[in-house]
Amino acid sequence: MRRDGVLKAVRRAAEVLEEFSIRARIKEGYTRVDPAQLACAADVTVMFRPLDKLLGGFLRESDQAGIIVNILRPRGLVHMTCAHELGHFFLGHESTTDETVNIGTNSDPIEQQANQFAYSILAPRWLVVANMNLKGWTKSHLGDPSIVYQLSLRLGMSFEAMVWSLARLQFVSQSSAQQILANKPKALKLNALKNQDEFSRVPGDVWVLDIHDKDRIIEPAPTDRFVVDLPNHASAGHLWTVDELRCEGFTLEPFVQEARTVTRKDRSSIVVGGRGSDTLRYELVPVVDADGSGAGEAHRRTLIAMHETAPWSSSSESYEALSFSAEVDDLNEGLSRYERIQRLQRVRGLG
Amino acid sequence: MIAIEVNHADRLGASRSQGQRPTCLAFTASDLNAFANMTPHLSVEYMCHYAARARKDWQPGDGFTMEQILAVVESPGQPEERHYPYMGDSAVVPLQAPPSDLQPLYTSQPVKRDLSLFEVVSHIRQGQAVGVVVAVTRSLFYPADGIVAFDPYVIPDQFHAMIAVGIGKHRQSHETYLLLRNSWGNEWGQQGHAWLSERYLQLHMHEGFLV
Repeated sequence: MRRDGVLKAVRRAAEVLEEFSIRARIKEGYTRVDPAQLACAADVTVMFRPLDKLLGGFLRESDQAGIIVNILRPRGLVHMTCAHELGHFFLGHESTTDETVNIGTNSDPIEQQANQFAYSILAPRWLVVANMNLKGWTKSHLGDPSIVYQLSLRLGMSFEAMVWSLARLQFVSQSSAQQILANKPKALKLNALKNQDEFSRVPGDVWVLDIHDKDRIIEPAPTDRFVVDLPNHASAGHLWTVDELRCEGFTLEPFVQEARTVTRKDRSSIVVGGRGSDTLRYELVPVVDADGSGAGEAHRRTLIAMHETAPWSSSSESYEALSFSAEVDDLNEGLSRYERIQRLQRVRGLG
Repeated sequence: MIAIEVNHADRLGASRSQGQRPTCLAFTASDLNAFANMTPHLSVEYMCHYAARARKDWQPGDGFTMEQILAVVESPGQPEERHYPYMGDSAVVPLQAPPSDLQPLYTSQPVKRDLSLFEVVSHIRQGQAVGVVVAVTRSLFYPADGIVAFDPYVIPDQFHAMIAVGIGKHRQSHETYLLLRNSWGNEWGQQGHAWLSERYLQLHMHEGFLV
Protein backbone atom coordinates (compact mmCIF):
# COMPACT_ATOMS: atom_id res chain seq x y z
CA MET A 1 0.00 0.00 0.00
CA ARG A 2 2.81 2.35 0.97
CA ARG A 3 4.69 1.49 -2.21
CA ASP A 4 1.53 2.15 -4.22
CA GLY A 5 1.29 5.56 -2.59
CA VAL A 6 4.86 6.40 -3.49
CA LEU A 7 4.37 5.25 -7.08
CA LYS A 8 1.21 7.31 -7.27
CA ALA A 9 3.15 10.40 -6.12
CA VAL A 10 5.89 9.83 -8.68
CA ARG A 11 3.33 9.33 -11.44
CA ARG A 12 1.37 12.42 -10.41
CA ALA A 13 4.54 14.52 -10.45
CA ALA A 14 5.28 13.39 -14.01
CA GLU A 15 1.71 14.26 -15.03
CA VAL A 16 1.99 17.71 -13.44
CA LEU A 17 5.27 18.44 -15.22
CA GLU A 18 3.60 17.42 -18.46
CA GLU A 19 0.36 19.28 -17.78
CA PHE A 20 2.15 22.56 -17.05
CA SER A 21 4.56 22.27 -19.99
CA ILE A 22 7.69 22.36 -17.84
CA ARG A 23 9.80 20.95 -20.66
CA ALA A 24 9.02 24.12 -22.61
CA ARG A 25 10.54 26.18 -19.79
CA ILE A 26 13.71 24.09 -19.94
CA LYS A 27 13.74 24.40 -23.71
CA GLU A 28 13.57 28.16 -23.27
CA GLY A 29 16.90 27.98 -21.43
CA TYR A 30 16.03 27.53 -17.75
CA THR A 31 17.76 24.75 -15.88
CA ARG A 32 15.27 23.98 -13.13
CA VAL A 33 11.63 23.58 -12.22
CA ASP A 34 10.43 26.51 -10.14
CA PRO A 35 7.78 25.16 -7.72
CA ALA A 36 6.51 28.69 -6.96
CA GLN A 37 5.81 29.24 -10.64
CA LEU A 38 4.13 25.85 -10.88
CA ALA A 39 1.94 26.69 -7.87
CA CYS A 40 0.89 29.98 -9.44
CA ALA A 41 0.01 28.22 -12.70
CA ALA A 42 -2.12 25.77 -10.68
CA ASP A 43 -3.87 28.63 -8.81
CA VAL A 44 -2.27 27.71 -5.49
CA THR A 45 -1.25 30.82 -3.57
CA VAL A 46 2.31 30.69 -2.22
CA MET A 47 3.23 32.90 0.72
CA PHE A 48 6.79 33.21 2.01
CA ARG A 49 6.96 33.98 5.72
CA PRO A 50 9.52 33.83 8.49
CA LEU A 51 8.44 30.90 10.68
CA ASP A 52 9.84 29.58 13.89
CA LYS A 53 9.91 25.78 13.78
CA LEU A 54 7.86 24.92 10.74
CA LEU A 55 9.29 24.53 7.26
CA GLY A 56 5.92 25.10 5.71
CA GLY A 57 2.28 24.22 5.52
CA PHE A 58 -0.53 23.46 3.12
CA LEU A 59 -4.04 24.81 3.53
CA ARG A 60 -7.11 23.64 1.64
CA GLU A 61 -10.44 25.32 2.20
CA SER A 62 -13.39 24.61 -0.11
CA ASP A 63 -12.01 25.36 -3.58
CA GLN A 64 -9.08 27.49 -2.39
CA ALA A 65 -5.56 26.18 -1.74
CA GLY A 66 -2.54 27.91 -0.32
CA ILE A 67 1.03 27.18 0.69
CA ILE A 68 3.14 28.86 3.32
CA VAL A 69 6.91 28.44 3.22
CA ASN A 70 9.46 29.41 5.86
CA ILE A 71 11.71 31.93 4.11
CA LEU A 72 14.33 31.79 6.86
CA ARG A 73 15.62 28.45 5.55
CA PRO A 74 18.30 28.01 2.87
CA ARG A 75 17.17 28.49 -0.72
CA GLY A 76 17.30 24.80 -1.68
CA LEU A 77 15.15 23.90 1.30
CA VAL A 78 12.67 26.68 0.48
CA HIS A 79 12.26 25.24 -3.02
CA MET A 80 11.96 21.71 -1.63
CA THR A 81 9.36 22.79 0.96
CA CYS A 82 7.34 24.55 -1.70
CA ALA A 83 7.45 21.44 -3.91
CA HIS A 84 6.48 19.26 -0.93
CA GLU A 85 3.45 21.41 -0.07
CA LEU A 86 2.52 21.41 -3.73
CA GLY A 87 2.62 17.61 -3.47
CA HIS A 88 -0.09 17.75 -0.79
CA PHE A 89 -2.19 19.82 -3.19
CA PHE A 90 -1.77 17.70 -6.29
CA LEU A 91 -2.17 14.44 -4.36
CA GLY A 92 -5.47 15.59 -2.88
CA HIS A 93 -4.26 15.72 0.73
CA GLU A 94 -5.88 17.68 3.51
CA SER A 95 -4.36 20.74 5.21
CA THR A 96 -1.11 19.96 7.01
CA THR A 97 2.04 21.52 8.46
CA ASP A 98 5.60 20.26 8.06
CA GLU A 99 8.68 20.37 10.22
CA THR A 100 10.73 18.21 7.87
CA VAL A 101 10.70 17.37 4.18
CA ASN A 102 13.52 14.84 4.16
CA ILE A 103 12.97 11.48 2.54
CA GLY A 104 13.08 8.75 5.14
CA THR A 105 12.63 10.91 8.24
CA ASN A 106 8.86 10.80 8.38
CA SER A 107 7.01 7.51 8.43
CA ASP A 108 3.59 9.06 7.76
CA PRO A 109 2.56 7.72 4.32
CA ILE A 110 1.01 11.08 3.42
CA GLU A 111 4.29 12.86 4.11
CA GLN A 112 6.28 10.20 2.27
CA GLN A 113 4.06 10.70 -0.74
CA ALA A 114 4.58 14.47 -0.63
CA ASN A 115 8.35 13.96 -0.30
CA GLN A 116 8.43 11.66 -3.30
CA PHE A 117 6.35 14.14 -5.24
CA ALA A 118 8.76 16.97 -4.34
CA TYR A 119 11.85 15.04 -5.41
CA SER A 120 10.11 13.94 -8.60
CA ILE A 121 9.13 17.52 -9.39
CA LEU A 122 12.53 19.13 -8.70
CA ALA A 123 14.77 16.38 -10.03
CA PRO A 124 12.96 14.22 -12.56
CA ARG A 125 15.29 11.87 -14.41
CA TRP A 126 14.90 13.68 -17.74
CA LEU A 127 15.83 17.05 -16.21
CA VAL A 128 18.90 15.70 -14.42
CA VAL A 129 19.98 14.04 -17.68
CA ALA A 130 19.26 17.22 -19.66
CA ASN A 131 21.49 19.28 -17.33
CA MET A 132 24.21 16.64 -17.42
CA ASN A 133 24.11 16.50 -21.21
CA LEU A 134 24.31 20.27 -21.49
CA LYS A 135 27.41 20.32 -19.29
CA GLY A 136 28.96 17.26 -20.91
CA TRP A 137 28.83 15.32 -17.63
CA THR A 138 28.43 11.55 -17.58
CA LYS A 139 27.61 9.25 -14.65
CA SER A 140 31.31 8.91 -13.91
CA HIS A 141 31.52 12.68 -13.31
CA LEU A 142 28.96 12.36 -10.52
CA GLY A 143 31.59 10.95 -8.18
CA ASP A 144 33.09 14.46 -8.13
CA PRO A 145 31.43 16.44 -5.31
CA SER A 146 32.16 19.76 -7.03
CA ILE A 147 30.16 18.62 -10.07
CA VAL A 148 27.27 17.42 -7.89
CA TYR A 149 27.33 20.81 -6.16
CA GLN A 150 27.13 22.60 -9.52
CA LEU A 151 24.28 20.31 -10.57
CA SER A 152 22.43 21.18 -7.35
CA LEU A 153 22.64 24.90 -8.17
CA ARG A 154 21.22 24.32 -11.62
CA LEU A 155 18.31 22.29 -10.21
CA GLY A 156 17.72 24.71 -7.33
CA MET A 157 18.24 22.05 -4.67
CA SER A 158 20.45 21.77 -1.62
CA PHE A 159 23.68 19.82 -2.07
CA GLU A 160 22.36 17.09 0.20
CA ALA A 161 19.00 16.79 -1.59
CA MET A 162 20.87 16.64 -4.90
CA VAL A 163 23.02 13.76 -3.69
CA TRP A 164 19.97 11.81 -2.48
CA SER A 165 18.18 12.59 -5.75
CA LEU A 166 21.07 11.05 -7.66
CA ALA A 167 21.00 8.02 -5.37
CA ARG A 168 17.24 7.77 -5.77
CA LEU A 169 17.65 7.80 -9.57
CA GLN A 170 20.43 5.20 -9.18
CA PHE A 171 22.96 7.52 -10.83
CA VAL A 172 25.19 7.02 -7.78
CA SER A 173 25.25 4.18 -5.28
CA GLN A 174 24.30 4.66 -1.62
CA SER A 175 27.94 4.33 -0.58
CA SER A 176 29.04 6.90 -3.20
CA ALA A 177 26.31 9.21 -1.93
CA GLN A 178 27.73 8.96 1.59
CA GLN A 179 31.24 9.66 0.28
CA ILE A 180 30.06 12.69 -1.69
CA LEU A 181 28.24 14.01 1.37
CA ALA A 182 31.47 13.86 3.36
CA ASN A 183 32.40 16.99 1.37
CA LYS A 184 30.95 20.21 2.64
CA PRO A 185 29.63 22.85 0.22
CA LYS A 186 31.77 25.49 1.92
CA ALA A 187 34.98 23.69 0.95
CA LEU A 188 33.66 23.27 -2.60
CA LYS A 189 32.88 26.99 -2.77
CA LEU A 190 36.31 28.02 -1.51
CA ASN A 191 37.92 25.64 -3.97
CA ALA A 192 35.95 27.16 -6.87
CA LEU A 193 37.13 30.61 -5.77
CA LYS A 194 40.73 29.34 -5.47
CA ASN A 195 40.59 30.53 -1.89
CA GLN A 196 42.84 28.56 0.43
CA ASP A 197 41.75 30.35 3.58
CA GLU A 198 39.31 27.90 5.16
CA PHE A 199 38.11 30.59 7.56
CA SER A 200 36.86 32.85 4.74
CA ARG A 201 33.14 33.46 4.67
CA VAL A 202 31.29 32.81 1.42
CA PRO A 203 27.66 33.72 2.12
CA GLY A 204 26.11 32.70 -1.21
CA ASP A 205 26.73 29.87 -3.60
CA VAL A 206 29.50 29.85 -6.20
CA TRP A 207 28.53 29.04 -9.78
CA VAL A 208 31.21 27.60 -12.01
CA LEU A 209 30.20 28.43 -15.56
CA ASP A 210 31.80 27.58 -18.88
CA ILE A 211 31.06 27.46 -22.59
CA HIS A 212 28.52 24.70 -21.97
CA ASP A 213 26.30 27.26 -20.24
CA LYS A 214 25.92 29.21 -23.47
CA ASP A 215 22.40 30.62 -23.88
CA ARG A 216 21.20 29.15 -20.55
CA ILE A 217 19.12 31.11 -18.05
CA ILE A 218 20.56 30.61 -14.59
CA GLU A 219 18.69 31.63 -11.43
CA PRO A 220 21.21 32.63 -8.77
CA ALA A 221 20.58 34.27 -5.40
CA PRO A 222 21.60 37.94 -5.03
CA THR A 223 24.57 36.92 -2.87
CA ASP A 224 25.88 34.23 -5.24
CA ARG A 225 29.25 34.54 -6.94
CA PHE A 226 30.30 33.44 -10.39
CA VAL A 227 33.48 32.04 -11.85
CA VAL A 228 33.83 31.25 -15.53
CA ASP A 229 36.25 28.73 -17.05
CA LEU A 230 37.04 29.99 -20.54
CA PRO A 231 39.18 28.80 -23.44
CA ASN A 232 42.66 30.07 -22.81
CA HIS A 233 44.88 31.98 -25.22
CA ALA A 234 46.46 34.26 -22.60
CA SER A 235 50.02 33.59 -23.68
CA ALA A 236 49.02 34.57 -27.21
CA GLY A 237 47.87 37.94 -25.84
CA HIS A 238 44.16 37.29 -25.61
CA LEU A 239 41.90 37.66 -22.59
CA TRP A 240 38.15 37.45 -22.11
CA THR A 241 36.25 40.58 -21.17
CA VAL A 242 32.64 41.55 -20.75
CA ASP A 243 31.12 42.58 -24.07
CA GLU A 244 30.15 46.10 -23.07
CA LEU A 245 28.11 46.66 -26.20
CA ARG A 246 25.75 43.85 -25.25
CA CYS A 247 25.77 43.98 -21.47
CA GLU A 248 26.93 46.26 -18.72
CA GLY A 249 27.29 46.13 -14.98
CA PHE A 250 29.82 43.31 -14.74
CA THR A 251 33.56 42.94 -14.74
CA LEU A 252 35.45 39.82 -15.76
CA GLU A 253 38.97 39.32 -14.45
CA PRO A 254 41.26 36.28 -14.53
CA PHE A 255 42.22 34.85 -11.17
CA VAL A 256 45.72 35.93 -10.24
CA GLN A 257 48.15 34.86 -7.57
CA GLU A 258 50.87 36.84 -5.87
CA ALA A 259 54.06 35.79 -7.65
CA ARG A 260 56.01 35.32 -4.41
CA THR A 261 53.55 32.66 -3.25
CA VAL A 262 53.79 30.58 -6.44
CA THR A 263 55.74 27.35 -6.11
CA ARG A 264 58.38 27.38 -8.80
CA LYS A 265 57.79 24.65 -11.35
CA ASP A 266 60.33 22.22 -12.70
CA ARG A 267 61.37 23.89 -15.96
CA SER A 268 61.06 20.70 -18.04
CA SER A 269 57.38 20.46 -17.14
CA ILE A 270 56.59 23.97 -18.35
CA VAL A 271 54.68 24.09 -21.61
CA VAL A 272 55.34 27.65 -22.77
CA GLY A 273 52.10 28.95 -24.25
CA GLY A 274 49.96 26.49 -22.30
CA ARG A 275 47.98 23.45 -23.33
CA GLY A 276 45.10 23.65 -25.79
CA SER A 277 42.74 21.77 -23.49
CA ASP A 278 43.36 24.11 -20.54
CA THR A 279 40.86 26.75 -19.59
CA LEU A 280 41.50 29.89 -17.59
CA ARG A 281 39.32 30.74 -14.60
CA TYR A 282 37.86 34.24 -14.39
CA GLU A 283 35.64 35.82 -11.76
CA LEU A 284 32.54 37.59 -13.01
CA VAL A 285 31.62 40.36 -10.59
CA PRO A 286 28.50 42.55 -10.69
CA VAL A 287 29.32 46.24 -10.43
CA VAL A 288 27.38 47.78 -7.58
CA ASP A 289 26.15 51.31 -8.29
CA ALA A 290 26.45 54.17 -5.82
CA ASP A 291 22.82 53.67 -4.80
CA GLY A 292 23.55 50.06 -3.90
CA SER A 293 21.75 48.54 -6.85
CA GLY A 294 23.60 46.47 -9.36
CA ALA A 295 23.26 44.47 -12.51
CA GLY A 296 21.73 41.65 -10.53
CA GLU A 297 18.42 43.36 -9.86
CA ALA A 298 15.86 40.85 -8.69
CA HIS A 299 13.84 39.00 -11.30
CA ARG A 300 14.98 41.09 -14.22
CA ARG A 301 16.65 38.91 -16.77
CA THR A 302 20.17 40.13 -17.35
CA LEU A 303 22.16 39.13 -20.38
CA ILE A 304 25.78 38.42 -19.55
CA ALA A 305 27.89 38.50 -22.68
CA MET A 306 31.65 38.08 -22.86
CA HIS A 307 34.15 37.71 -25.61
CA GLU A 308 37.83 37.08 -26.15
CA THR A 309 39.83 40.05 -27.35
CA ALA A 310 43.37 41.38 -27.58
CA PRO A 311 43.18 44.08 -24.86
CA TRP A 312 46.26 45.90 -26.17
CA SER A 313 44.83 46.28 -29.66
CA SER A 314 42.75 49.20 -30.87
CA SER A 315 40.91 46.80 -33.15
CA SER A 316 37.50 45.74 -31.91
CA GLU A 317 37.98 42.29 -33.38
CA SER A 318 36.77 39.57 -31.05
CA TYR A 319 37.36 35.87 -31.28
CA GLU A 320 35.20 33.44 -29.31
CA ALA A 321 32.11 34.66 -27.47
CA LEU A 322 29.85 33.35 -24.73
CA SER A 323 26.59 34.67 -23.39
CA PHE A 324 24.02 33.46 -20.92
CA SER A 325 21.33 35.10 -18.82
CA ALA A 326 20.82 35.45 -15.11
CA GLU A 327 17.48 35.91 -13.42
CA VAL A 328 18.05 36.67 -9.77
CA ASP A 329 15.93 34.39 -7.59
CA ASP A 330 15.33 36.86 -4.79
CA LEU A 331 13.06 35.20 -2.25
CA ASN A 332 11.19 37.95 -0.42
CA GLU A 333 8.63 37.83 2.34
CA GLY A 334 5.09 37.87 1.02
CA LEU A 335 3.47 36.46 -2.07
CA SER A 336 5.62 34.72 -4.65
CA ARG A 337 6.66 36.98 -7.48
CA TYR A 338 4.54 34.98 -9.93
CA GLU A 339 1.50 35.55 -7.75
CA ARG A 340 2.25 39.27 -7.52
CA ILE A 341 2.64 39.57 -11.28
CA GLN A 342 -0.54 37.59 -11.88
CA ARG A 343 -2.56 39.71 -9.44
CA LEU A 344 -1.20 42.90 -10.97
CA GLN A 345 -2.23 41.72 -14.39
CA ARG A 346 -5.71 40.90 -13.13
CA VAL A 347 -6.05 44.39 -11.65
CA ARG A 348 -5.00 45.88 -14.96
CA GLY A 349 -7.46 43.65 -16.75
CA LEU A 350 -4.72 41.74 -18.52
CA GLY A 351 -5.05 38.43 -16.74
CA MET B 1 60.68 58.29 -20.73
CA ILE B 2 63.36 55.61 -21.23
CA ALA B 3 66.89 56.69 -22.17
CA ILE B 4 68.11 53.96 -24.54
CA GLU B 5 71.50 52.46 -23.86
CA VAL B 6 71.51 49.63 -26.42
CA ASN B 7 68.85 48.43 -28.85
CA HIS B 8 69.25 45.53 -31.29
CA ALA B 9 65.59 45.53 -32.36
CA ASP B 10 66.36 46.56 -35.94
CA ARG B 11 68.56 43.53 -36.47
CA LEU B 12 65.55 41.22 -36.02
CA GLY B 13 63.29 42.88 -38.57
CA ALA B 14 59.65 43.73 -37.93
CA SER B 15 57.98 41.97 -35.00
CA ARG B 16 55.49 39.32 -35.99
CA SER B 17 52.09 38.07 -34.83
CA GLN B 18 51.46 34.57 -33.55
CA GLY B 19 47.68 35.08 -33.70
CA GLN B 20 45.79 32.92 -31.21
CA ARG B 21 48.12 29.93 -31.33
CA PRO B 22 50.43 29.23 -28.35
CA THR B 23 53.53 29.54 -30.51
CA CYS B 24 55.39 32.31 -28.66
CA LEU B 25 58.38 30.08 -27.92
CA ALA B 26 58.64 29.02 -31.57
CA PHE B 27 58.59 32.69 -32.64
CA THR B 28 61.20 33.57 -30.03
CA ALA B 29 63.58 30.72 -30.86
CA SER B 30 63.03 31.23 -34.57
CA ASP B 31 63.95 34.92 -34.41
CA LEU B 32 66.98 34.12 -32.24
CA ASN B 33 68.06 31.52 -34.80
CA ALA B 34 67.65 34.12 -37.57
CA PHE B 35 69.61 36.64 -35.46
CA ALA B 36 72.45 34.15 -34.98
CA ASN B 37 72.53 33.25 -38.68
CA MET B 38 71.90 36.83 -39.86
CA THR B 39 69.05 35.67 -42.10
CA PRO B 40 65.58 37.09 -42.80
CA HIS B 41 62.72 35.63 -40.75
CA LEU B 42 62.84 31.85 -40.46
CA SER B 43 59.88 29.48 -40.68
CA VAL B 44 58.01 29.16 -37.41
CA GLU B 45 55.62 26.66 -38.96
CA TYR B 46 58.47 24.36 -39.88
CA MET B 47 59.77 24.54 -36.32
CA CYS B 48 56.29 23.83 -34.89
CA HIS B 49 55.98 20.65 -36.94
CA TYR B 50 59.28 19.17 -35.77
CA ALA B 51 58.71 20.33 -32.18
CA ALA B 52 55.25 18.71 -32.18
CA ARG B 53 56.73 15.48 -33.53
CA ALA B 54 59.27 15.40 -30.73
CA ARG B 55 56.65 14.87 -28.05
CA LYS B 56 54.23 11.96 -28.28
CA ASP B 57 51.55 13.58 -26.15
CA TRP B 58 51.52 16.85 -28.12
CA GLN B 59 47.97 17.81 -29.08
CA PRO B 60 46.78 20.53 -31.49
CA GLY B 61 46.46 23.72 -29.48
CA ASP B 62 49.34 22.86 -27.13
CA GLY B 63 52.37 25.09 -26.66
CA PHE B 64 55.90 23.71 -26.53
CA THR B 65 58.57 22.99 -23.96
CA MET B 66 62.03 24.52 -24.23
CA GLU B 67 63.45 21.05 -24.92
CA GLN B 68 61.12 20.52 -27.89
CA ILE B 69 61.94 23.86 -29.48
CA LEU B 70 65.69 24.01 -28.84
CA ALA B 71 66.12 20.51 -30.26
CA VAL B 72 64.68 21.78 -33.58
CA VAL B 73 67.06 24.76 -33.57
CA GLU B 74 69.93 22.28 -33.47
CA SER B 75 68.39 19.81 -35.90
CA PRO B 76 66.86 19.95 -38.45
CA GLY B 77 66.93 23.77 -38.20
CA GLN B 78 64.64 26.00 -40.25
CA PRO B 79 64.19 27.25 -43.80
CA GLU B 80 63.35 30.88 -44.47
CA GLU B 81 59.83 31.98 -43.58
CA ARG B 82 58.99 32.71 -47.24
CA HIS B 83 59.57 29.05 -48.13
CA TYR B 84 57.10 27.73 -45.53
CA PRO B 85 55.01 30.61 -44.14
CA TYR B 86 53.09 30.67 -40.86
CA MET B 87 49.56 29.44 -41.46
CA GLY B 88 47.49 31.57 -39.10
CA ASP B 89 45.18 30.28 -36.41
CA SER B 90 44.70 26.65 -37.41
CA ALA B 91 45.87 24.57 -34.45
CA VAL B 92 46.30 21.37 -36.45
CA VAL B 93 48.86 22.74 -38.91
CA PRO B 94 51.89 21.41 -36.96
CA LEU B 95 50.63 17.88 -37.64
CA GLN B 96 51.16 18.38 -41.37
CA ALA B 97 54.62 17.52 -42.67
CA PRO B 98 56.29 20.37 -44.55
CA PRO B 99 57.79 19.71 -48.00
CA SER B 100 60.99 17.70 -47.69
CA ASP B 101 63.02 19.75 -50.16
CA LEU B 102 63.17 23.08 -48.33
CA GLN B 103 66.74 24.33 -48.34
CA PRO B 104 68.87 25.69 -46.87
CA LEU B 105 68.02 24.82 -43.25
CA TYR B 106 69.59 27.19 -40.72
CA THR B 107 70.72 25.73 -37.41
CA SER B 108 72.34 27.12 -34.29
CA GLN B 109 74.34 25.54 -31.52
CA PRO B 110 75.30 25.33 -28.81
CA VAL B 111 72.47 26.72 -26.81
CA LYS B 112 72.80 28.33 -23.37
CA ARG B 113 70.02 28.06 -20.82
CA ASP B 114 69.21 29.13 -17.29
CA LEU B 115 70.67 32.60 -17.67
CA SER B 116 70.15 34.89 -14.71
CA LEU B 117 68.80 38.39 -15.26
CA PHE B 118 72.32 39.73 -14.69
CA GLU B 119 73.60 37.44 -17.48
CA VAL B 120 70.72 38.43 -19.78
CA VAL B 121 71.63 42.10 -19.36
CA SER B 122 75.29 41.35 -19.86
CA HIS B 123 74.67 39.44 -23.12
CA ILE B 124 72.51 42.24 -24.49
CA ARG B 125 75.30 44.72 -23.73
CA GLN B 126 77.62 42.41 -25.66
CA GLY B 127 75.40 42.73 -28.73
CA GLN B 128 73.23 39.65 -28.41
CA ALA B 129 69.48 39.10 -28.38
CA VAL B 130 68.35 36.87 -25.51
CA GLY B 131 65.27 34.71 -25.14
CA VAL B 132 63.28 35.03 -21.91
CA VAL B 133 60.42 32.98 -20.52
CA VAL B 134 58.22 34.99 -18.16
CA ALA B 135 55.16 34.30 -16.04
CA VAL B 136 52.16 36.13 -17.48
CA THR B 137 50.82 39.12 -15.54
CA ARG B 138 47.74 41.19 -16.29
CA SER B 139 49.87 44.26 -16.92
CA LEU B 140 51.50 42.50 -19.86
CA PHE B 141 48.23 42.97 -21.74
CA TYR B 142 48.14 46.72 -21.16
CA PRO B 143 51.47 48.35 -22.03
CA ALA B 144 51.16 52.14 -21.72
CA ASP B 145 53.53 54.48 -23.57
CA GLY B 146 55.62 51.45 -24.45
CA ILE B 147 56.07 50.35 -20.82
CA VAL B 148 54.64 47.30 -19.07
CA ALA B 149 53.91 48.30 -15.45
CA PHE B 150 55.27 46.33 -12.51
CA ASP B 151 52.63 43.84 -11.38
CA PRO B 152 53.26 41.50 -8.45
CA TYR B 153 50.43 39.14 -9.46
CA VAL B 154 50.62 36.38 -12.05
CA ILE B 155 47.95 34.46 -13.92
CA PRO B 156 48.71 30.97 -12.54
CA ASP B 157 50.53 28.48 -14.78
CA GLN B 158 50.80 30.82 -17.76
CA PHE B 159 54.21 31.30 -19.36
CA HIS B 160 55.19 33.43 -22.31
CA ALA B 161 58.40 33.72 -24.32
CA MET B 162 59.84 36.95 -25.75
CA ILE B 163 63.22 38.32 -26.85
CA ALA B 164 65.18 40.87 -24.84
CA VAL B 165 66.77 43.20 -27.40
CA GLY B 166 67.68 46.40 -25.57
CA ILE B 167 68.57 48.15 -22.33
CA GLY B 168 67.60 51.58 -21.10
CA LYS B 169 67.20 53.70 -18.00
CA HIS B 170 64.00 55.33 -16.80
CA ARG B 171 64.58 59.10 -16.84
CA GLN B 172 62.71 59.68 -13.57
CA SER B 173 63.25 56.55 -11.49
CA HIS B 174 66.68 55.73 -12.98
CA GLU B 175 65.65 52.11 -12.88
CA THR B 176 67.09 49.81 -15.56
CA TYR B 177 64.59 48.57 -18.13
CA LEU B 178 64.87 45.87 -20.79
CA LEU B 179 63.28 46.21 -24.21
CA LEU B 180 61.28 43.09 -25.06
CA ARG B 181 60.27 42.06 -28.54
CA ASN B 182 56.91 40.29 -28.46
CA SER B 183 55.09 38.15 -31.02
CA TRP B 184 51.65 39.70 -30.51
CA GLY B 185 51.82 41.94 -33.59
CA ASN B 186 52.75 45.57 -34.14
CA GLU B 187 49.95 47.00 -32.03
CA TRP B 188 51.42 45.70 -28.77
CA GLY B 189 53.49 48.43 -27.12
CA GLN B 190 55.49 50.34 -29.69
CA GLN B 191 55.76 48.42 -32.95
CA GLY B 192 55.50 45.13 -31.04
CA HIS B 193 58.11 46.07 -28.42
CA ALA B 194 57.80 47.30 -24.82
CA TRP B 195 60.02 48.10 -21.85
CA LEU B 196 59.91 45.95 -18.70
CA SER B 197 61.73 46.96 -15.54
CA GLU B 198 64.47 44.87 -13.97
CA ARG B 199 62.24 44.63 -10.89
CA TYR B 200 59.49 43.10 -13.04
CA LEU B 201 61.84 40.58 -14.64
CA GLN B 202 63.53 39.76 -11.34
CA LEU B 203 60.16 38.60 -10.08
CA HIS B 204 58.65 37.05 -13.20
CA MET B 205 61.49 35.81 -15.43
CA HIS B 206 61.62 32.06 -15.34
CA GLU B 207 64.53 31.49 -17.63
CA GLY B 208 66.86 33.32 -20.00
CA PHE B 209 68.38 31.49 -22.97
CA LEU B 210 70.70 32.04 -25.89
CA VAL B 211 70.61 30.56 -29.36
